[in-house]
Amino acid sequence: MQPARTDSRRPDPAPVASGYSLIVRDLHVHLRSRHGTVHAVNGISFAVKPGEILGIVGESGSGKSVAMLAVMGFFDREAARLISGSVTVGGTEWRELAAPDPWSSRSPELAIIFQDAVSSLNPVLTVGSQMTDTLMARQPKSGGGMPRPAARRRAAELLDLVRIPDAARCLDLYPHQLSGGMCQRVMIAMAISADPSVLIADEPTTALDVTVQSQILDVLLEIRQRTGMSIVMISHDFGVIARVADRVQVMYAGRIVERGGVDDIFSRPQHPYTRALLACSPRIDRGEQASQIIPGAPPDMRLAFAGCPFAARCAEVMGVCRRDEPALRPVGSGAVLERYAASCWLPRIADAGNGDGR
Amino acid sequence: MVAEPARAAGPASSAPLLALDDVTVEFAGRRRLGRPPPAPVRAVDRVSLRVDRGEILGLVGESGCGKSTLGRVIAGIIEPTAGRVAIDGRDIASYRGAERRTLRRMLQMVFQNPYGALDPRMRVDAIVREPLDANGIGSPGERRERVAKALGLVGLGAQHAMALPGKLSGGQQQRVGIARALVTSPALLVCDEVTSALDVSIKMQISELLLALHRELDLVYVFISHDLGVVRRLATRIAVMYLGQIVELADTASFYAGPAHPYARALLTAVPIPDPAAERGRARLLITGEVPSPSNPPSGCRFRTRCPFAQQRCTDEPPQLRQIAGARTVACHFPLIGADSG
Repeated sequence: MQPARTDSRRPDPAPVASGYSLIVRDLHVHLRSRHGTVHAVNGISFAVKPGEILGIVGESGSGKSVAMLAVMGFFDREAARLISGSVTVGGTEWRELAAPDPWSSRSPELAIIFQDAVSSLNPVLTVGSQMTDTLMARQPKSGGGMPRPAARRRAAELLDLVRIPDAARCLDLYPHQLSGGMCQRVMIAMAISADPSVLIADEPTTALDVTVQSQILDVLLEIRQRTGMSIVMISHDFGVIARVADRVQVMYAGRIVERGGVDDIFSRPQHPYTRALLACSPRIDRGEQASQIIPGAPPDMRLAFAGCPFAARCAEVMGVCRRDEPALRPVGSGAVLERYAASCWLPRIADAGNGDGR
Repeated sequence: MVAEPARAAGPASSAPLLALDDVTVEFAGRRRLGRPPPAPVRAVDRVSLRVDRGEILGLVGESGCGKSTLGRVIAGIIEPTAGRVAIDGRDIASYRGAERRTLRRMLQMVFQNPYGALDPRMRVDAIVREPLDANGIGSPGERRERVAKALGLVGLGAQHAMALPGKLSGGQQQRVGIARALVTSPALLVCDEVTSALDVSIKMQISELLLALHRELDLVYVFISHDLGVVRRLATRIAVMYLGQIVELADTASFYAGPAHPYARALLTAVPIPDPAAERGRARLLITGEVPSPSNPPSGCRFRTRCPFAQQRCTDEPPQLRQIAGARTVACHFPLIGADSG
């Protein structure tokens, strides 16, 4: 099967210039499953600036993780029925997102950490040997690997950076001797060991207790501060996003339905889905909050549907919503991929997109 | 057929629905050949607690604090190593035989992972009917009626009754779990992280359902959760656990206005608020390190090893739960508010 680039589809006008550490253009991911093809990601484009934390928020099945796994080049032709689009990172554009040899489709500028850090580590190797193996095998920016003693010193430095107390001792421990929070710190240290320009954090604190979550978020913020690394933070938790993100994009049914600066999204959400999701997020700082409920469940991504994917659950649904799918339309001025944007037919959004905006 | 577990059967109506006195649960550590037997792990350590009718008690704390173990003791799934659990003033250890089965119907439990808690090969109606079958409650016709009513209460219809759990969404599966618990007309429901596996929009649907059932059926919940946002919405009173002990008990409004125990304060301030402006200006009480092992807890106050306010007295003397202000009880020598002389 050809890596289909459907030219009939008009992607978001993409930025030509650099100035971004990661640009994703018109990404589609359709996955094979036993029960049919899942249209997991349906034409999303976005970019991340150096040193920026982009929050991607959405419920399960919204495509937020699948999109970033595809950006990492983790899917092969076996799993993905269709995977198209391009990823530009470190000045190189990658069009083959599911190449036969996975290593050729992965950029050393990208690194990822996952929710379940404990099972992401090798249980039969010490923290030190996993970290030094990585450093010895690949240190892309300095070209080639390091000798073992240097790698071990570097590993200890990295563990210091993620605030592991007594880093030298930690190198000789096995993952099962560490708590979940410590394992996640080790994962972060390994992920940043190759000095990537973008760190993708896929629900890195979801499995952790809140006090530990707070510590890990501080570690990520500090790393961004010290290295200027960009972070793409995937989370279902609006609280986590509010705490760390500079910009936010909200995903639903494999699409970006709204994006903008963190203050805009939280104080002036436009899309009915974002509004409803925020209204029903349980909060510790509000007592008798209006108990708004989003009825129903997200659409089955194996089935085709017409119109806006949120129409069936939307309180403000109109006739056009069930017929035509709204595009993600920039509202206001600024660079296209950074501008406040939402995909909705409601006049307050659709009309704002036509004029000069705010 | 056994008579209905009439709630009025309880003797003194002045007694709380649920009373725990010095409840302790110990688990034996795993024995290994050639090594001395390990010290038992004390998962719950001398917990005393009362829950009255009309209440929803939010039981909060981090992994390993003993909240689920305590929930299982309350639901009668495990027996405490020491201490007393009383329902309507009567020790549940004194119930025997048929009486004990009757008691079991009053105490039901809903679990975190709805799919794991349901038999994948049983149809929904059979799953919900099973407690009636097991307890020999009602004629077949009455059972059908009660199953339909329980499904109706949780918002499921006849089309769901015939389905297998695998065909339902996570939210619907959790509704089945709740219907199964409701079918015996319990007085007390122990909800163990029932919303934790669910997406935000579904989480709120289930929370609102539980609130509605609480009002309609006069159901009491012990709502175990690490999600302090959901707990705020549901609970009338909060109990915070740390390393097997309750460190603070307060009514919901005073707790969220500012916990008095340093651990409770740290726990609450660690929860991010979905409002970037509020997040930027937020004062956090940071704690470092990790929870010590429950098989070898610190002397004195169990939180002292991580507490920024710890003093010598905290090492020497374990703090007792005491009332400080209003309906607030705290186990701390130096509580953050309402500190009259300790």
